[in-house]
Amino acid sequence: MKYRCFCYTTSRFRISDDLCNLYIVFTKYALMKFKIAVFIICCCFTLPAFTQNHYTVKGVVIDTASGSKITDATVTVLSEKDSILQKFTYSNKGSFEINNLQPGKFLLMVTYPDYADFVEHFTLDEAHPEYSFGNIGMILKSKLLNEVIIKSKVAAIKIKGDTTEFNAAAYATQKNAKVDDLLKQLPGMKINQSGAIIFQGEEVSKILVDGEEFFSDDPALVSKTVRADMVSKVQVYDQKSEQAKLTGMEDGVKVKTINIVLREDKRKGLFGKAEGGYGTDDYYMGQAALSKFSPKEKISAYGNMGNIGQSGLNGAAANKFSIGSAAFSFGGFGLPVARDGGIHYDRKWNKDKQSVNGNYNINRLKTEDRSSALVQNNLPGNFNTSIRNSGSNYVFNSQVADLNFKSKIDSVSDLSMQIRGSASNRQSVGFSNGSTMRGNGVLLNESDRISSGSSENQNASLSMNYTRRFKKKGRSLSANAASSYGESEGESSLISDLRYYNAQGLLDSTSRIDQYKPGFSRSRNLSGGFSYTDVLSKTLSMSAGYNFSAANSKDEQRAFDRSAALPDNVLDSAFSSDFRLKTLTGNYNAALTYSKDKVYANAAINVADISYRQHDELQGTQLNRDFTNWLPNATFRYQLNKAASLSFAYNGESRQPQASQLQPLRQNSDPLNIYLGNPDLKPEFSNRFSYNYRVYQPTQDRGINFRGNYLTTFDAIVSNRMTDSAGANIYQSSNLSSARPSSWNIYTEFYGHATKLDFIVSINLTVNGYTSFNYINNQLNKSKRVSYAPQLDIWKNKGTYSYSFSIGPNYTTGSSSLQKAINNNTRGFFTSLNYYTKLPLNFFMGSDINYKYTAKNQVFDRSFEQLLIKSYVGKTFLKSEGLKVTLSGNDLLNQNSGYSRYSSDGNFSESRSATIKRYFMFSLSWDFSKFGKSLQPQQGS
Amino acid sequence: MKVFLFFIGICLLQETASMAQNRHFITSGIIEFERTVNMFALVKKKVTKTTMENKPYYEKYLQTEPQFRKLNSVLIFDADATLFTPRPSENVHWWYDTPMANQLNIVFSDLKGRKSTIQKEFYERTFLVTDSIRKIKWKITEETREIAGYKCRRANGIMLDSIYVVAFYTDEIHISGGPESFNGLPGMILGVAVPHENVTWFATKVTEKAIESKAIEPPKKGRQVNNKELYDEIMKAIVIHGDYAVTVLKGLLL
Repeated sequence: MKYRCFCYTTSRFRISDDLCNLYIVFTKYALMKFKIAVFIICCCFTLPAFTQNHYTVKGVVIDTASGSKITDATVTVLSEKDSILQKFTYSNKGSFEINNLQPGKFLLMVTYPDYADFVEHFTLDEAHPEYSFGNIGMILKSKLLNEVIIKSKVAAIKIKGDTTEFNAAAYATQKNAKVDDLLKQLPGMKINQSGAIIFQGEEVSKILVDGEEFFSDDPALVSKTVRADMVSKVQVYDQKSEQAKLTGMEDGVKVKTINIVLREDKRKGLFGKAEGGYGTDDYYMGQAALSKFSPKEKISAYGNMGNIGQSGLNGAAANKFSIGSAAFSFGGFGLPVARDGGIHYDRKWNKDKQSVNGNYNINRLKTEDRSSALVQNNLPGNFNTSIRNSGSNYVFNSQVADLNFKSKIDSVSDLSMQIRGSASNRQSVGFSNGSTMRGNGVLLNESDRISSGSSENQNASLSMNYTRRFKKKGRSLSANAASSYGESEGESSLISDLRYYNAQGLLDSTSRIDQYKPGFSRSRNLSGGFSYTDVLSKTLSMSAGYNFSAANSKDEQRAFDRSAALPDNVLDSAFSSDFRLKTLTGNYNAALTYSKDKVYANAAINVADISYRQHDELQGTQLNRDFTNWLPNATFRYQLNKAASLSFAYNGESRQPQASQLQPLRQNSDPLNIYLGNPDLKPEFSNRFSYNYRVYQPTQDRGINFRGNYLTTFDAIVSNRMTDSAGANIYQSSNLSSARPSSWNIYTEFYGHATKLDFIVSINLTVNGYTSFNYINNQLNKSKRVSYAPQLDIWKNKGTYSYSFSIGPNYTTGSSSLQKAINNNTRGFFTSLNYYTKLPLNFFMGSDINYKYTAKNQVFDRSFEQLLIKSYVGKTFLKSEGLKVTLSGNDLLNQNSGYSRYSSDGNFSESRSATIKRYFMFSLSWDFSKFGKSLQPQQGS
Repeated sequence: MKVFLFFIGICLLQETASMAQNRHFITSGIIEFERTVNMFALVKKKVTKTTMENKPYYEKYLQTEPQFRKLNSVLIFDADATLFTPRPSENVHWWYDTPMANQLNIVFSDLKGRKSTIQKEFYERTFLVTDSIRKIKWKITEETREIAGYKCRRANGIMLDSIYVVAFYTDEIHISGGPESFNGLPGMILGVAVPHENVTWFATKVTEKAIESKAIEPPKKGRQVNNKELYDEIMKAIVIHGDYAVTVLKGLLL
């Protein structure tokens, strides 16, 4: 009963939380026993006849404001435990008396039209057979609303099957907050520096609004544009992949999805935001977004520009179309100048039978990158170290449009269609210079490289799906067809100088490449198929399908030497390639689903027959390969009770070698790293086991999550490295039969409320491990890496202030069997503190403080330490607090250095990049919203 | 203690003021109810494991008939008694007929004497059931909604041992009655839903009116029985229904 607060205004005018639980569980036997017990007690200690009348409650109902007595107020006695109605009466000239009660604990509820309900506890027992409330002051609701806010406690989280549902009303956000401010508060949900949303350790790749795609379900766009006060519920679940949805074939791929359910009264309205800022060193930003929602139609548009790398409206779009720019995918390395904009439109009509959903995005990104990297290459019994400084300037332009149309043709058939087109171009200029030292400190080689290039890409795709349901529920047949076309044309030039040094460190030889390289590639894809689902019994259903696809591609990369001795048009055939590739795939699929009460089980198998025909136009050779790929998967889920669920999953997958592993394009863009093909590669087969256990206690708002997975691969395709005496690396893949690489991951989280200060605490532990193999100079190298990252998070959000605090040490062990003497064990530590508080006179202030430390180790001789502080102070105007003036300072200590450290395939490397550092900015923002009159007033809020 | 001080404060400050906020409360009148029956769900219940032959009827019903059947009734009340009378309605085709789809009862409730007289018609027979007012165990909730212009509070109840009932009552009419045999809340019941039986009653109009006591008279027709005797009679009549008997029983007892 802790949740009852005992200050006057709230406790007296809220209905007990017991009442909120509408679950009727009438404990008939318990009650009967209780009555018998009462009877026995009465017999033993008092005269039965006397007990009948002397348990009484009475009082006088008055109006608090005027002091006058209220006649005809309804006075009701409920049992405290289950709020079952015991007796009631109506006040007469204010006073009431209810007799003939049993001893026990009760609630007295007094109601009167237009007055707030009065609810209070009382107890009747042998010592106190009569309870008098004296005067009960009733307050008019109109007055009450100005004085106190009645808020019932709502169950914050519901777990239904594999869906976790958060009730937005249980989380407080600031005025004008956006969805990402709400998401940050949800247990298990994190938003990292680059704006990616992580739920229980897995990245969320889609956000839907009311189940509909919004800006092509780009997570950043939804979370930055939709207002938190519009949200009723946040649901998180795994969705099937796009491919599985189109073809109806279960491929075991799960896409973590968030569905934002809007409040009924916020489905119709206009809202938006405009923000602009200018700062020192010519830093600037501008953002505008405007949306108009109605139940049948949503229109939204946004525009964004800036050079502060705001990981908002631009970050996710850049990742989505795999632009590959490092500027946003590695926590803001490089100096970006971004401009982007987009429009979304969706509409339903004809009783929601037809709907259309279209999006258009335009994006321009200019990035300047300066970085330095230190790499240790492990060799049998030895190692070498290379240092490289590089710089590049990229300009990337892209436009993407998509249009989705869905129609219910009649009550049994649906048609959906999707058209998507994109165009992009890219220019880059880059240089790098580096040197490699032998393990004993003697120089091995030096390189200088200047490259420039440009390319243009166009892609278009069309897909269609038709589903027909039959009279028998659950029986359906669907057919699908898809086609896509892509083309890319580009040119590049390369000047590379290499100097090799002998064992004494004296110049041995030099090599120079000066080439012009035009390239062209094209791919066409056509696919089609059908699937059938049927219900075998109440609990069992099946699906089966067949899909066929044909892909044709051409990839042409030519190199022309540019030296004085040769004419311009002489082809360097050693570094030119022209491949034609035909792939025919036949895909068979069958799945069985069992679902009864608390158990859900699903097993599916997918077999793909692939024929691969590659023709080398330059050399006139043909490479023919046929693969059979198996994709079994199974899921088992058990709902232990309302709040706990347990699931296991298995996914098996044969992965055929990629074209670049069989026969790579002959390239010399990096003469020190050369890739060779291996036409004899077989598919590898991976097995992935995962489990997930979740419990949530609604009354305490606390829970546990356990998740984990284990992946092991048979006949793994591994990348082998030959490092020659000159320090050049030659890579070639092969199947590994003597050992099996594996990786695993464990995520554990506990969260709950601290009782007194009422903040939320979450303790979580992430452990990742992997063992991988590859051959280095024909010797098997085993790399092992395990990282432990426990973390403690504390956060609290109220209307006027919020804070969050995180702390976590981390420890990584990394070793390579070729270099037993040297390990790459790393210790590190991070802590962060964010706070925001309102100050008097509508001022506000806050800070984000992040500290990171990575200790030195046997590979890297410097420790790394960084303290980033961002602070802001401002003032809001208007009643809605929509207008805001802010002065902010980024990286106050000027310590940001774009540092990262990693290891792979027997390499350990570390890099630092130029990045955005200290600046101060003055900005002005305006949030506005106007919603239609509420259709259904929300209860209890 | 805080509460006490607050009251002292109130008393000292507000002693002189005495503006009465008293409201007018209805003590007699007429309430019109509309009963809505989800026929799709009721007809479906006729299809049980042992009566699969009814399935084609059910499927035909889905295609040819409307989902909701609406029935009207009137509740006349004064401070001491209520009389619930159904208005005549069209019959349901015998293929689809089920007791829950019809209004079988004229209910007179003597609220002071805690007695009720129900004239019940089923299977072409008429009974006059005289017994004490039906007891329903109510659990009061916080939820409210407006019905026919009155603010009503939700109560969840269990009656006849196992039937789950949701009722909405208003504390602005101080009569502890309601449609059919629903009663026992601290105010007039203006809305009832019996979710598992797919039926609801909602007041469409509340009229304040002086009622002559003659207008609220117990019904008289039918064979005199009490609840126990009625139950035995019903059991005799429905044993032939097999799986479906429970559904019929609920419909007849309601």
